[in-house]
Amino acid sequence: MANPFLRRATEYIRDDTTFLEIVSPAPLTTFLANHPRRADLFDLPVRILGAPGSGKTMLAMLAEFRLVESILRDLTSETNKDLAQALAGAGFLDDGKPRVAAVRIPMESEYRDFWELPYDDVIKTKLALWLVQARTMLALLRGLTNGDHRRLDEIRFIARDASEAQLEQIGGLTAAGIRERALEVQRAIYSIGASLLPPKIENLPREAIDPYQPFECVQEIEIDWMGERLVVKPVAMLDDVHALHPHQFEQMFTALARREIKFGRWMMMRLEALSPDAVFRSAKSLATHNLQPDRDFVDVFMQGGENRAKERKRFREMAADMADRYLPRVQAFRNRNATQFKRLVPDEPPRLSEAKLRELSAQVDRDQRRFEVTPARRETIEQLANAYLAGAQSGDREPEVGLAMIRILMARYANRVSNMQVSLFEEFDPDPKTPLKADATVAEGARLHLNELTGRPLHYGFDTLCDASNENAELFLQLAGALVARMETQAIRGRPLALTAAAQQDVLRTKALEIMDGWAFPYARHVRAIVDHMAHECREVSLTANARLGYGGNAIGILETEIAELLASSDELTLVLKYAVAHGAIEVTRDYGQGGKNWCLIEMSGVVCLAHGLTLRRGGFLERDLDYLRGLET
Amino acid sequence: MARPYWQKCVAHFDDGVGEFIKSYFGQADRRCVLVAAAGFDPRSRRVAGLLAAVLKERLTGLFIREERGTPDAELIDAAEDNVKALQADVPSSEVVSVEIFGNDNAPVAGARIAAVIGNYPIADDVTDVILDMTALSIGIGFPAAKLLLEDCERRGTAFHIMIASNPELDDEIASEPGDRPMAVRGFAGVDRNGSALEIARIWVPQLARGRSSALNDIGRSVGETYKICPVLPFPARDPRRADALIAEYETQLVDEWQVDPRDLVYVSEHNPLDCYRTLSTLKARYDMTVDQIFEPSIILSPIGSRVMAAGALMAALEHDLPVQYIETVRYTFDPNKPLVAETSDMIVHLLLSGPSYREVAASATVDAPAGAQA
Amino acid sequence: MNLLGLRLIANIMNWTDDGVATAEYDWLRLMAATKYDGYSDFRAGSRFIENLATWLKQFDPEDRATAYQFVKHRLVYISASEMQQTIEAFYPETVTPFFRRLAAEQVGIAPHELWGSGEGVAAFDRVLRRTLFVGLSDGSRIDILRRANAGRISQEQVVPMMNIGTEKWNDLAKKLREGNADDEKFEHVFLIDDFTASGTTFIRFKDNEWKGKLQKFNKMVCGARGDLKEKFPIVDNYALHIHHYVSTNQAHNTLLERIDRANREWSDRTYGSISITEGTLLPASLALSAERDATMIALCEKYYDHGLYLRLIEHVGEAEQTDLKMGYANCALPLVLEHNTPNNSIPLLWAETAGEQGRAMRPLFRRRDRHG
Repeated sequence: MANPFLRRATEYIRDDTTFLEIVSPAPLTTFLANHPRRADLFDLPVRILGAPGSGKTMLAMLAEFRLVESILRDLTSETNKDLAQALAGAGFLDDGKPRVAAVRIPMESEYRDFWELPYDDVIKTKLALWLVQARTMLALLRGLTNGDHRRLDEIRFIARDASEAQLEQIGGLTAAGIRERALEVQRAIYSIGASLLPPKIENLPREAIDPYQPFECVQEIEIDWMGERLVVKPVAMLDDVHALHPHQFEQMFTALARREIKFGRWMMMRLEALSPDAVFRSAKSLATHNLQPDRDFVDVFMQGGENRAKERKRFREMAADMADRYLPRVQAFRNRNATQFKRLVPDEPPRLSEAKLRELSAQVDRDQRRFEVTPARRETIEQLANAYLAGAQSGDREPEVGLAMIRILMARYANRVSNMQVSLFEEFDPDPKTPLKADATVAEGARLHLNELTGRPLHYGFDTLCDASNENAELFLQLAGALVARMETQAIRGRPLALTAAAQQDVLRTKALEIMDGWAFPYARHVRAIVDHMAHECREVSLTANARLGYGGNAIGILETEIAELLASSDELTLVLKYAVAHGAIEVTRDYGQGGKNWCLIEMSGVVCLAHGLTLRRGGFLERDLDYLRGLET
Repeated sequence: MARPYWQKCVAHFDDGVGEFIKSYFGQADRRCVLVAAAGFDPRSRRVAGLLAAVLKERLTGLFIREERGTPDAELIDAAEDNVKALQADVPSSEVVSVEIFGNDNAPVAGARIAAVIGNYPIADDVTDVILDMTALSIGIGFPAAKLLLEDCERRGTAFHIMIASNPELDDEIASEPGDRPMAVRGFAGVDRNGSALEIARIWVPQLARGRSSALNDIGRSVGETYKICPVLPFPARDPRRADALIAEYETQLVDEWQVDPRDLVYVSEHNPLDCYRTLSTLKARYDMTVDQIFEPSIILSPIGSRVMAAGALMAALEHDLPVQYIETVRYTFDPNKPLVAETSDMIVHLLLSGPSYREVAASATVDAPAGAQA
Repeated sequence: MNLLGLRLIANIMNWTDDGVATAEYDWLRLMAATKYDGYSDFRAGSRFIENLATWLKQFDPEDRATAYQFVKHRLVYISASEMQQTIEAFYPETVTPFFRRLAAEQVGIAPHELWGSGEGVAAFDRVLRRTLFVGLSDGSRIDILRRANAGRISQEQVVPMMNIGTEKWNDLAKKLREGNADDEKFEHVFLIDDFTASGTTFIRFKDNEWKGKLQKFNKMVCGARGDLKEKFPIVDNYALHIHHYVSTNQAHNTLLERIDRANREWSDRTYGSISITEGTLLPASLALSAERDATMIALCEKYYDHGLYLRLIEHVGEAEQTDLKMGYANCALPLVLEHNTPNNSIPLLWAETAGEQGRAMRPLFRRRDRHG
């Protein structure tokens, strides 16, 4: 039986109603409605940047006029009401009526192929650009007439002032004329692009090279809307523009940035399309083609870029909403009244068995002797730990956490007093120079230690699931899907659906390993070797008795100066790292100040942390250098 | 171009190929051009060796070296050994390097191979052109086949495809897919953007071991489909091969593609014509089904076995079907590691054009069961 | 969705690890839907999952994992779609190449030149018209064969059963001449069957006597020729072709051997030449072997009812084996065909017994037995 969570490609969903039922409006609000340049999104060129799976295509599909119309035509459903509200927030609606007519144009590799033609760059760019425009016009007409909502003759194009001279080349202002001309252009150019042996430049057909600039000529479209005339602004959402050659993109982008253009134009692209430098988010690298971000164009980042805590919180809300929409589609859960996904993955802490607890307690006693901690000092430490736990907000305050905290604090104590003078005559129990502190970092470190010492689950609960997804909706669905499969097993076996912490950890770890084993992207093997090695070291260091990385480590730091040099070079390592970022193996934080130095943090992604038993909290890193990374490559 | 005589395509297998080569290429007036891969694949030398032994100096070679980034040293060594052996077998030959990726890492194999073939002079006295698809990737092999076939058809000469296949060895060669699914150059299919009817697509992915991630991405690029009909090998040398693939592709079949089990397509692992016939029948029937309601489109993704891919190639050429694939960035293979099961290569020969079909090409009668012809 | 069925299997298999159970459920559901549920003996309400449950329960708990792993990794099930593939491939892959060579020979050109020669094409058509296709059992699925070749093989060239009476022979002769006045008699005969594992059913020498389908066919031709004389529509010394959709490697070799002997020994042989072909040839490695399948072979020994053997002897009246633990002719196959399970497969797969002479056996794919 199909598990809806595991169906990653929403593009497959044929039926609009089904699509609308599961699509979450949250990205519209988060990325568009709350964007500081919301007002300019339909006027200036917009670049929408995100990792694979961040939901770019889903966003574009939802914003298409065809769907906007079907949402507005049925506002009786709650789902559609929510969607309409979000669309309005993002500026797609005005007074409950469409304000724009957007179409998604997939920029398949076909366009990149034009770059291989044996012509001058200007000609090649022109061919691709005109093909995009022709297809946009055809798609607009399809979207506007869709489902016989209106006839071609009920659609009228409104020209930009001062464009009269160009009207003829686009086929006039009637829908029929525009359609015919667009078809002609697209047919001629398609055959050139698709041919194995392209025609000589002097043999290019006229239809392909005669001027054709509908984006410059057309300003608005007048349509019939529920019996009244309505003027909408056309928007072309060019999806996957990263498939273009960088020079080709530069030329097309420059052409599309012309101020004369009144069409809205969005370019949705993967982060990795940018240079490695840009993937590593150094702000100045975003400027391009002599155009300035914010002045000449607007960037929308579909993840990252904002405060991390805020980002995680936002993602959790979105993910919960999405999961709840998918849940009713799981057949095995029918009649089980499962409406809230969150409840099925409770964050109730695991409990150690009495026997294991005794074993742990004995080990802590042994360590006390090993660290030469006096009973009195132990008592002080115990008080510290207990006081923290008593006041902590976290749900996991089980006795074993206290014990493991005590063990860490005793180790720290032993370290801090190790170089003090031992007196032969008194009991040696000096106060350390830096006083011990029991806080959340120690508690989290303790949980990691417990995972190693007793096998106590580390990764469970809805928030962990979200954090492990690195704000990537598709990845979240995959992980959630694996949990759902296990819940199905519970259903089959006639047990409650909710999974214990141990079951959740088991599923998540297995799935994470499966995802990593399935990595198939450029340099995947290198990337795997690198993260496996880094993760192994991080786990090892996190498990030192004194938990010197606090929460635990999940990153390495390389000095900014070294990284900047690397990114400027043509070293293959930059490509390896770029693909690692783009495909969710690592994340990068630039300019992280610590210990008076400026670091570039290379952090393991959530999936790697799940697979290797690392904390999902940020900040703990090992100081390394580039030679270290190079050494890991093979 | 319609080629109804392909329903009667002359094919030879295994020992029959050797016999055919002896009697056919043994004729003193045959002048032949062989286009083949000069890569690491241990099977690269099989076909050239068979032909050279009979044709000797009447054989000219164009050997293609597919260049992909920085491969492992053992693979480079293996490729160089193969190049030397091929040149020794076919002294009148040249080796041409073809870059598979552009400087932006976009796959450009199709445009590059088209330029190589387009500029390769084939002498007027050449009677036969043989494309050895054994070790050519489909991004290279398909465009090459199309150009060579069309050229042979113009001249009225014979075009052959030969393949040395070994499914067990295929399993040992792992490939890292690139990140851009796309149409094979020259195989974008009919332009349907202008159609007044809604397009209804059937996607026909060929399942192969270790390629699920690539097929996933290709599937997404295909987008919305009317149906997905995965192709499985049967009959196969290993009778459990199809079942093992079904288990390997469980997530795709059940969750991602939601395939109706009745839509699984079984084609021979041994005979490319079986795949060709099956796809031709599917095409004919589907066209009839959706006629006047939808615009039909059947998209092929023949990754994996070259034998089945050759059948898909014939169907794509014959019916102008789009072929969607994903380029391989890097191969992983240990040439020195013995196979799990010692297996022999299977050899296939197909004759696709030329005087041999004069009679059936001219006649209107077509040797096909009812319902298999459009 | 059959949740209880899956729970049933989990209980029988004692899957305590939910991770294992989840993975196995997925596999079971997929394979049931793709292949196994289509087994022709299964009935509404009792399909693969249910039969698997019944089957697994007959084993002691410690043996169930072996049995389950056998189904998962060794069983070869040829589904209806797969069978259809081999039937549809019969004409283009067996008939056409063979006749292309033959026709080329007749007109004196090379086989690859045939389609380039008008005379050659005519010769091919002539050979094809003068060919009779005979089904040897229900498994030969002549209905599918006919449909797959509508337009190239005439209905009048195909006979679904081996028992052809006088009237039918006359009819065949009439239709043959009606098709083309030049065609007097059939020159080629294809005998078609679904499967052979050992070749025994087709031809065997036992108690100083030749038996099997080939012998029966030969005898029938002899008889009909005697009755009809000149009107009998098959030429003397016609070419006989034996085609199995599925054959084991062992059977292929056995058939060659025995036919060679029959050619020498049969004084009443009606055919001039004989060829053996198959749609798919199963490798020798398919059969269970001591080194690879020791645990499953042990189950075949342990869960065995000798009554099965006695029943076989009673109906067949002959056997060159002393028990039936590894299947008929000791073939030890892990094979199931969509419409029946061959008796050459291990009986644990197909046998149903009362247990009077050992353990009562429960089938996974119940065999519809021609021998009772």
